[in-house]
Amino acid sequence: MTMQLVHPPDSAEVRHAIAVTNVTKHYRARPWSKPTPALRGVNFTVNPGEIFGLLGPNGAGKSTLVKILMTVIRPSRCEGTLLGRPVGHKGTLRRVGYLPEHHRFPEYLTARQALDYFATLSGVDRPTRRKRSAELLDQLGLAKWADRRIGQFSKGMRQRLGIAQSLINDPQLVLLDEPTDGVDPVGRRDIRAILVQERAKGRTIFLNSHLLSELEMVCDRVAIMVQGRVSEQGTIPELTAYGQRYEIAATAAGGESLDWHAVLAPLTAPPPPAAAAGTLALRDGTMLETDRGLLRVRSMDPATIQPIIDAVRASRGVIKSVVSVRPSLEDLFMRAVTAADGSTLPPGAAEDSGSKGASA
Amino acid sequence: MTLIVRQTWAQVVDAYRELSARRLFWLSLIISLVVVAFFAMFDFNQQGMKILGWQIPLTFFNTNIISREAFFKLLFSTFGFGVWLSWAAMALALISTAHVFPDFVASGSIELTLSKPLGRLRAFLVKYVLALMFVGVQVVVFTLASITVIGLRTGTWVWDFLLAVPIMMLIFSYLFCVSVLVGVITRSALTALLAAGIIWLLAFVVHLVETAGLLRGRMQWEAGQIAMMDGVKSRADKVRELDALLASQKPPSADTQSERERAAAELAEWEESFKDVSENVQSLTTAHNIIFGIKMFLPKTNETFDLLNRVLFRDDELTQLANARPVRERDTRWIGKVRVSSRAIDRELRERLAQRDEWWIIGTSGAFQFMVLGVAAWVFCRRDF
Repeated sequence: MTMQLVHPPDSAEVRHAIAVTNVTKHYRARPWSKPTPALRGVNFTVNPGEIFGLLGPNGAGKSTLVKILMTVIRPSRCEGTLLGRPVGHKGTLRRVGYLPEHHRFPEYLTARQALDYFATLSGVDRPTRRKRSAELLDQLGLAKWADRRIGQFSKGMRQRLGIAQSLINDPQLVLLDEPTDGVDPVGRRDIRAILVQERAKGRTIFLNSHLLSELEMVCDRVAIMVQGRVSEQGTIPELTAYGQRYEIAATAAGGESLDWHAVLAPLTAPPPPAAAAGTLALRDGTMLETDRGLLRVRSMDPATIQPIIDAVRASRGVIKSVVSVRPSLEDLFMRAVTAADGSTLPPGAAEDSGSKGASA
Repeated sequence: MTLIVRQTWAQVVDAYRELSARRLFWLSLIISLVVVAFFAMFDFNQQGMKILGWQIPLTFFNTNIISREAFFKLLFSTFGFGVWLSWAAMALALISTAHVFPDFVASGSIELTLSKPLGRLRAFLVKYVLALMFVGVQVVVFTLASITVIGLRTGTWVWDFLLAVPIMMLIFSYLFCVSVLVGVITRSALTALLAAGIIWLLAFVVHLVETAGLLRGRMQWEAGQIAMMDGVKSRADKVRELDALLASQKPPSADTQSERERAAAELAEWEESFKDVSENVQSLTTAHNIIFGIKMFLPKTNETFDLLNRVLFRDDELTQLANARPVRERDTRWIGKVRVSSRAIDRELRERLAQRDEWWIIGTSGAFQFMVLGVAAWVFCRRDF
């Protein structure tokens, strides 16, 4: 299977595949009613050639944001570019592929006809359309169903066809809104593989999904949207750095709990007056937390834990496990959608007061 | 430019696939051909009508009264175009196209189109025009089949029937624009169909009330008023004559006196009746002006269809047709103290309606369509989907 990008990304020309600031959208139920905010100044960038994941709870404004980029929804305010052209520029959409959430293809069309139709709307010439339709139907496992009406397709097959449709115009940028919705685990794995393949070809992929584990597996960078704002964005290691640590489980020689304060006394500095109970600090400033037989070391540097292990051994303690812990995307997500008082933030774009979301 | 042509062609192909996937489209086409085939079974001769060799004697409707060619034109224009195409096929066309815009703007579907390098207004207008075109296909098929049947039966090829194509498309477009507006707003094919049906019914009822009701009534009462005025004048003259006679008689004759009293009483009755008739004329004129004002803003489906008859039939053919039926007692009506011929009023009404300017009929209906479609396009272009 060989496919070449018709529009190879030009990094000199296009610094960001997407770069938007202050994307705002207000809805009014009635012309005279008070506007309800859906997006409250969204800022983010997507680099060329990466898979970028957008996650957030229901009602956070993810689909609204994608629809604004695709000119389906008119923003109240939007500054920024899509493939180097202002957002809303129709001509740019020739180089963009899009799979809407809950998409509905005309059921009277066959898979091949649907691809041909949407490719034509994107301005693809006939020979290219035919070639790419055949390639994509094969790639998405729909070759045998190419000439069947979409009305006969299962949800998963429709989803595969949707992805084929988003790639039919050989786009530089592909925006996929819940691409694995309704797809079985095997299908999801196939779709992930396709996304990785497409990234390897130089395409930029913008992924909007609820399935955090999937995003974690394929995304180079992610942004978390909460209540109409991007609360965090970056690479997954960057975003999860806050919770990266080593956890050392150990007991005293007789099996009783280890006195971490005594064992680590030679390595630690005097605790600051405001330090919580069970909190220690190494002389280099690395924070330690003790929890009965467990010691949490707030560092991912292996060199940091070597003297600690030595100290435990020296005190005749028994090391049961040393584990490198990194928060999952789910942890990150939960942290983003949890208010200071521990409650989960409600869906929708809430007013400023009391909202955790902060402009990135 | 190439992109626009390519996209428009894709929309044409898609519209064809969409409508041809609907059984109603093909059903309507088949029924059209069946209707033409049914009319082909008719013939017309000096004895009356003939259906598949079975003679139906008609004394007032045969080739002694109207020509065979006029008979077929009448048959097709009245029943083929007037009933099947402008009512039944029109209703089927509205049903089969009612889903077009609701499906187009349905969530999950519209995003696929709007995310393409295609302007909203163009996407909307092309979709609208294509729906009209495929209704046009139905009309073209029926019209050509009708022309063929008439041509084969009479040897005369009535190409004027081709005018039915733009006329029927115009009538359909008046109603379809309503379906589009409601479809874009509500995304419901049923609501869109219902709205188009209501406007159609409203246009029909208003037309009926305005022409067959108020205008005809007004003309009838105006004719009665004129006849009454003459009656009042002649009775007043008679009273004056009798007054003059009485003045010349020395002494006045009792008979003349009595006759003068009778004439004066009759004059008073006529004057009273004339007053009533005049009040009715005034009321009918006011009511007619109001309903005519309302009609200005509505599509004129019936009058647009009647444009076809203006072209198809010559005045002498229409007069022959109107006079074909024997005069009956109920063809006259009492207005005050005079009888007015309903048949004369019908002829005058027909002439008066025929004098209504084509551009007024099409122009005001077109203005309605332009306004409704404009609002629909505005909603479509501004809406967040």
